[in-house]
Formats: sequence, structure tokens, C-alpha cells
Amino acid sequence: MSRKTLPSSKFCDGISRRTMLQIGGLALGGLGLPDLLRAEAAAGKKSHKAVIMVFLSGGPPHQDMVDLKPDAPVEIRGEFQPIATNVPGIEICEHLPRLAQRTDRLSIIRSLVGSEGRHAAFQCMTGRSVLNQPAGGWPALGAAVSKLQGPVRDGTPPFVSLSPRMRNAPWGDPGQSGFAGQAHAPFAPNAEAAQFTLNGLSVAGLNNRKALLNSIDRLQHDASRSGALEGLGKQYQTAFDILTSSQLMDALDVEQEPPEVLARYGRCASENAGYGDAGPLRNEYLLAARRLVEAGARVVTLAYGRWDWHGRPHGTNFENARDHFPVFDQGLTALLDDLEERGLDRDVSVVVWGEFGRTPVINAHGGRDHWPQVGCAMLAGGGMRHGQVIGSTNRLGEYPMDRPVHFQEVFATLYHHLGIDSTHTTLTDRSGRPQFLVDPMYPPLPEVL
Amino acid sequence: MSVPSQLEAVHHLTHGNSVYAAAFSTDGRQLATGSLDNTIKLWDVVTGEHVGTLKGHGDGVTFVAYLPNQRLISAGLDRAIKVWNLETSVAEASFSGHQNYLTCAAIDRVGVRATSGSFDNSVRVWDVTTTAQTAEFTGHTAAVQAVAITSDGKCVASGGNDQTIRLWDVESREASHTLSGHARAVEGLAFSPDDRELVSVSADGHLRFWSRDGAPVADLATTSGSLKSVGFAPSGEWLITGGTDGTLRIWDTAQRREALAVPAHRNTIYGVAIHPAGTHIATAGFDRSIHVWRVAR
Repeated sequence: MSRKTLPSSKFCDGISRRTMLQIGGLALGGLGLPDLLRAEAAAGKKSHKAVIMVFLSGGPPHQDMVDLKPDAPVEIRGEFQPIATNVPGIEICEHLPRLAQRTDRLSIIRSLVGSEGRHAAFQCMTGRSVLNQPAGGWPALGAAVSKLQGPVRDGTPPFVSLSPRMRNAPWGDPGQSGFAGQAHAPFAPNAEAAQFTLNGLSVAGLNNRKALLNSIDRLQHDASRSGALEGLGKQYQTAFDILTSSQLMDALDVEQEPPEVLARYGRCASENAGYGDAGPLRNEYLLAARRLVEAGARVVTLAYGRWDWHGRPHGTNFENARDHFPVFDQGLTALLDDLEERGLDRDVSVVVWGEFGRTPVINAHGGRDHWPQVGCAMLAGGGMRHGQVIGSTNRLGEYPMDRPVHFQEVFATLYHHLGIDSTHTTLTDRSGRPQFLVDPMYPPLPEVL
Repeated sequence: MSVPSQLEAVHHLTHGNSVYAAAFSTDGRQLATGSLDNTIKLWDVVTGEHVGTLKGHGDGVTFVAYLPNQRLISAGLDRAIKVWNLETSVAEASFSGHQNYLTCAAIDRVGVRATSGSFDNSVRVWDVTTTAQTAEFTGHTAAVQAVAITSDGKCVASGGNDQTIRLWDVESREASHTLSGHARAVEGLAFSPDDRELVSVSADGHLRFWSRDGAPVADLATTSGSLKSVGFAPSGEWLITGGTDGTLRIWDTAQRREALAVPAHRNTIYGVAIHPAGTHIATAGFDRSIHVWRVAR
């Protein structure tokens, strides 16, 4: 991303000039205020295919979540019991009762393989390894889709990441643009300075929107007089366009939802979960994702909670699970119900996963460590065939028994849902070489098509 | 005071992250709570009002206790022990020595001698006045999860992942006894107010009574699964425990029996505290909440 440092200055809202310009530089090359206004004036919203990706930062424990091993030895099986779901023969964790009643709308992958074992969002965002990248780097799903399909409607970027800035930065990676080009980087409002967070927008920023706009006007006037914006290019200009676009801002402002909708998702702590080095466990992000899709986003990604549960003294795997699972259960259930009730469940695919699974053996501190050998994922929506488990692990949850599913197969499935044939579509990297979006050896999952 | 027969929830308080410790002030007017959000919050016991926050630890706060003269002592996973001036909310002293997470601490009755236990397997004794480390006890073969100190500060008890309890003579700086019996990690320890008995709770779900010289006295089982915290009432007639099932249990110490079990938290109860007058109980949970209970008899 091209960044130019301007003299430090703050608006009365506490938003720095630099922050605003960075936001503009993130994503919206080619968009201008007239486009935004045209989009806002457009009556009716035509549905489009979209993906919401929920990244469980740190790697969720597959054997405590959707692949319980009650017959394993005590040092492996853990504290939780499986419960029946509304799909005969499928059981999941007792602390996910709402999802258990919606398993007919889920495809549970119990045999996710191919993790490179890196503590990062990169593989979940791109499907690829961080090693040996082609010139320019692999684009995230959203960046590739932005490049191939462009915006649904002007004024809303096709790729939005709600992942917040984190102390452990690789977890908060919003998804790089790679060789798709900087113009296709995500609009990532939570990844920037602390003042410009989703929470800040709904509470501090938007409540004082008029003052903010006045400040922008003042800055524009000052900048024009001083010539500070000259030569900064259209991307910087569009920073102002974004900030003055009510369409995008409204999508981010979940407080506009009726109280019953907010209650359905649940109000969650804004503080970072667990060690404090990841993001918070906020179901408002899930609601904002739905709103962004409705506003025209094609791909919305978000990091959710902290799932790297090595054990005490920061709580055992099971204490953290009892903390996260009920909130996750409520939030994902609300999203699935919401999408269905709004008629979006065929158009919007939801994928939930982390970078790897957890060790079968519980360690001395009540935790489970990293286990790239196998993990889990959940797919929902997208008009796919659900109510099934794909793959299985052995009795101890150590490795796949059948139907190993690679990360890239999930990506192929998501591209397929978006109308992109990933086995034949290429983008050109910075060296001029065509690169497949997904290695052609990985087709979409036939089980869900 | 007799053993409580009923509890009434009077305040529901929260931190931004899991709560590991709670303590009432010596006059009973204030409650302090320590959390994985790295802060200590101060609460008015009568109104439940949040009256202050102490910030300075770099990791979760695992221990809090009030000292005389408007001061408070805390310990954290950042290995630091801090003494706070409550009038200024400033840490007047900060000292450390452990080489790994400091998981537990205790203070004697007059607030002069403190002890701490750590993931470095050691137990240390501190002079709070001078901040000097006065003893280091080694012998545990795994992380120390619980410590207790007699009211006179002469005896320290420690327990942890090696499933043993060790009694240490502070004056001679030597181990006096090693107690075995728990089948899993020792998670909580407390001396009775008269220092004649020690109680231990364990991840094996058992509550055990020991004499001051380490002889087993009683072994009580629970259905909790795992017990995590324990505290004596000032009268010594009853004590409370918290476990991974979120249940607060009250035990009749004379009868050696469970007197009351109250579902209290949605997750493990990491800390318990009893009001100096025995009128209130505070429970601190991994569910990010603190409950204050009024005791009825």
C-alpha cells in the first residue's frame, strides 16, 4: 500500500488525518463521491453471491467442537460430551446446542488438512502457503474476487475485512491484495488506528457524525489551500469519499438494527479475548458482515476471538471453550437464521475455520497445543447441500481416516459459489506469469454441490 | 457465627476478561478483584459501584489483598508483586524474582510477610515492607498452583501440579513436611484462622483437611469434577470452595460436611473471598464475572 505521511493532525473526533488517508489508500481505487452518491440513490438491492469468512484466530480444538472422541482415553477425550443434532447420526459439542439444532444447514468438515502450521490468518485468507509465493504474493480470496468481478455497486468495496488490529499481527491479517493489485486490498476499518474501530464508529464516530463531516470539510478546505492533497492521487481522495458515504458507514453501524436483532446476536465484551493478543469475541462483527453483504460486499472476512488455548495460567482449553463456545454458538446461529430469514442463505456462503487443529493429548496445563495434521471447518449457506459431515478422523482425532479435505478444496468451493471456475481461471502475477486461483488438482467439494 | 443456610446474590460485577482473585478490605466496605484483563477493580460492597481501577500489571492479576494504611498488594502472571497506594491508585512498589508465571500468593494477618508460587516450581517469601525476598523454597517438581501462609507468617504451605502439598518453615527456610493424597493437581490451600488446620482442594474434586503438622484429618469428595479455590470464614466454622462446575459450596468445618451448594458461575470459580464479618461472600469466575452474595442463616 502506498502511504504518504502527512503532518500529524487530529479532528475533533480524535481521528487523525493520517488514519483517514490510510483508509482511503487501502481499497477504493477508482471510486469517487459521484459513484457513491449514485449507488446510494439506487433503489432496491439486487442480491449477489457473497462469502462471509469467520477466522477463529489461533486454531479451534476440532475434537472438542465438532469431532468429539468420547471413547478415547481420558488424557485425550476432554471434558465435554457430544450431543445429538437435528441430523440423525451427527453429534457435536454439548456447548453448541443452538448449532446442533441447525446442523441440517451445516457441512462439517472433520478432516481439514494441508495446514502449514503457521500461527496466521494467511492460509485461511488465501488458501496458500506463505512460503514460495509468486511475484507480488498470493491474493486473498476477497482480493481475487475484487479483481475478477469488481464492485457490486459503486460505493461499496467488494472486499471488506472486519478483523481488528492485534498484538499478534498475523492473526489480524485482513487479507493481502497480492498480485491482484493494491486497488483490490480490503477495506479494513478495524485494522487501522484505534480511533477508527467498528465500535468507535457506532458509538463515538457516528454519534458525532455531523462534527466529523464538518471536520472533513475543514480539512478539505485547509488541504486545498495548502496544496497538501495535490499529487496524492485518487486513492487518497477516495478516503474522503468513503468517510462521507453513508452507505458504507451505515452498513458498519450495527446500532441501526432493531433491538431484537441485536439481542439475537448478543452483545459481547469489546475487550480482547484470552491473552489480549488477539481480537475480541464480538458477535457484532457477524451482524456487520451481513449488513456489509447487503450493502454490496462480495467477501467479508473477520477474525473472531482467541482460540489458541495452550492452557493455564491463561485458562485451560476447556475453560476457554466454555467461554467462547456459547458466544460463538449464539452468534453463528444468529447469522445463519438472519441470512435465511432475509432470503440470503442461497447467495451467501459462510465458512468458519482456523489455521489448524489441536493436539489430541491434553498437556500438563490443561491445554491443547498446535496440531496441523488435521483440523475442522464448517460451511453454511451458498445454496449448497448441507446436513452432512465430510471426512473423519481416527479414534483419537490424530489424523484423517477418510476423505481428507485440503484448504484449497474449500477455496475452490467458495470460488465456485461466486461463479468463478477456479480450476481454469488465472490471474497474472507481477512477473507476468498466469497463476491459478487454486491448484487445479483441487476441485470444488462435490459433496456440497 | 453459624454456618450459612442460604445465599442471596446482591451484586453481579464484571471484568473485561476472566477474574482470578477477590478480596474484601479489612473494614469490609470495599472489594478488590483481579483479572486476566491485567487490571484490579475496586468495588463498593454496599452499592456494588465500581470505584476505581488499578492498572500496571503486564499480564493477568492472580492475587489481591488489602494491607493496612490504605494499601493493597497484588501479584500477576507478569511475575510482579505490587503494593498500591489506594489514595493515589499508584503502585508504590513493584518487585519480582520468579522466573516464570506467578500464579498464586498469600499474605499473613498483619500484612508484612507474603508468599508466592510460580510455574518455575518455586515458592518465595517476601518482606512486604522492604520488598526483599527472604526465602526461596524449591522441591516441587512441577508448577506451583496454590500457596497459603499462617496468620503469624511462620509457616507456608504450597501445592501444585506434582500433586503434593509441602509445608515450609519460614524461619529455618526448610521443608517440614510433604503431604500426599490428592490424585491430581493441588489447586487451592488455606489455613484455618487459628492456624491449627490446613485445607486443600484439588483437581481430583476432593477437599482435604490436614493438621498443622501435616497429618491427614478428613477427605471429602465432591461431584464438582475439579475444585479450584478455597477460603475460610473468619470464625473458622465454615469454609467455601469453588470448582470447574461453577458451583459455590459451603462446608461445615466442625461436621466435615457440605452444608450448601449454589450454582454460581457459568465457568470455573477461580477466586473466593469472605467478608471479615462473615456477612458476604465474593466469587470470581473465568466467566468474567464476580458475584457478591449476602449470607443468611
